[in-house]
Amino acid sequence: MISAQQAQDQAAEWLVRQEEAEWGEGDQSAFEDWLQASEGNKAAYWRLKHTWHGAGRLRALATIAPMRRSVFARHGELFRRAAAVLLLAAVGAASIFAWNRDAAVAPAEAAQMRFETPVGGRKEIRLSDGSVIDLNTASVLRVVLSDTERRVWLDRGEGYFQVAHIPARPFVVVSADHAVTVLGTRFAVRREQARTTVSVISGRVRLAPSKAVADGGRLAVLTGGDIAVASGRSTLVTTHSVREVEDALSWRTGTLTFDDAPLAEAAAQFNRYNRQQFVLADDEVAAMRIGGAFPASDPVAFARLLRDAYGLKVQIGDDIVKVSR
Amino acid sequence: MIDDPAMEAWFCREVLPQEAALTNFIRRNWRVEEEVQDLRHDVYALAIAGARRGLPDNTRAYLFRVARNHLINQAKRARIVSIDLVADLEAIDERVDLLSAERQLSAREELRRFRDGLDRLSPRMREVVMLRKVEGCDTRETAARMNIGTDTVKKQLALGMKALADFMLGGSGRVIRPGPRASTRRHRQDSRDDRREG
Repeated sequence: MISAQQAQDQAAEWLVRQEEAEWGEGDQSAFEDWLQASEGNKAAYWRLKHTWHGAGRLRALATIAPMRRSVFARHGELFRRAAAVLLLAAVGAASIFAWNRDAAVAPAEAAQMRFETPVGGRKEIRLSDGSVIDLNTASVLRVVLSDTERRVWLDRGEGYFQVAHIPARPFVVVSADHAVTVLGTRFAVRREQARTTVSVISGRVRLAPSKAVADGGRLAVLTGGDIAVASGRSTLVTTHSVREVEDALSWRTGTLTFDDAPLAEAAAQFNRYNRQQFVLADDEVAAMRIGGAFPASDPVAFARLLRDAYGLKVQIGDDIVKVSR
Repeated sequence: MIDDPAMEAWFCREVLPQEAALTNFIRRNWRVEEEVQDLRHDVYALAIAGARRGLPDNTRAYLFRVARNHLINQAKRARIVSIDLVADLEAIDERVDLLSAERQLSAREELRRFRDGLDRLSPRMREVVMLRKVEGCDTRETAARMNIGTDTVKKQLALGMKALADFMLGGSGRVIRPGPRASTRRHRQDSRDDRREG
């Protein structure tokens, strides 16, 4: 068979030439001949084309590149410090019902504490076992500390947990229809109705479905760099980077960080923190990709950036910020 | 018969995300490092040819079966046989469920890898790629802005493209210069020495 390197060199040459203005019909037919000559040529060409064109979205980020750079410099520092990080997302369809069931079986003997933050609020909770919880915007959390177990129910919103290492008293966070069990680690759990996202910095975490979905459901043990997506009975594990976890946790410094995220997602994030709500005019606007780090409490500044950098129309009212083309 | 568009979609969606694992598998079972890339390329070609009759249900298991058979055939020819070859494949089959999630590389992750890959290129190569991908310049504009020839732009672009593909699919992201023909495989190492020329 033809050498891999030769096929790759030729594939790269074709890809470069195809982007040229003078690419003509003669070129196209010569290219077709080459491509059809072997499956190996196709493999080399498809492989290169896939990664090269997949990176085309980079263009959308160009306008705010300077801002991004400083963000990444900071994350580079964090990367060196964080030993192992994993981000884990669990999605549950029957979460509301599962939640009610869990609430019903909450132990009554130990005192239950309830914590709540308003929209835009943030609260640090210091528990008697030495663990610390940062509660994010619009969140509700209940805690029960007993001699055998520390259990937390995340009713709504997001919390960042620094868990004191006490092997005899496992620390369990229940969110939607999954339970996250940890032995001495730092992690965040976020709940958006049926979806649970868990971001963990260092340590090992066990993810298990609650009883409602336990029949045939799988138990996953995740270590640094893993991402698990759990939906009902199936669990998917992938490898991820530390940066995404740090991005997800940037709310702790009052910052929202986006990396090539659709505007719809960014708007939803701002709406979590502010009374003034973003309204996007249409799907095209919602699908625009943006990146950067922004103060969570200043939707107007973000709106101005959309206007200046992307040429979008922005109407700023008392309750809403409307964005259109 | 699976046609090219369907084959390309399958290849990019199901096969390419396995590249890092496949490369490791070949490397573990083949003593000549310089031939690993060629063997992987062969496996891709064989996998495509084999899937023309119908796409496999379990791509990962299929891909590693193709790889193992190819390695065994090559080993017979070279008269070197690795016992690990069979054991490894069985281990992989059990891990199929867990690892199939590798294909779920998010768009954000893909973009990040692209950026990380860019950092590994030489400054000049990086600038050529940035001008093309980010600024949207064509070859002539790129050449004018960097004050270099259009042939150099094309050459740097092709090299950068290959290194980025390698890195984004889990490899080292080294710059590999266009080499001599397959007959000089053994000397490939010599042409790989300039991973970062800047």
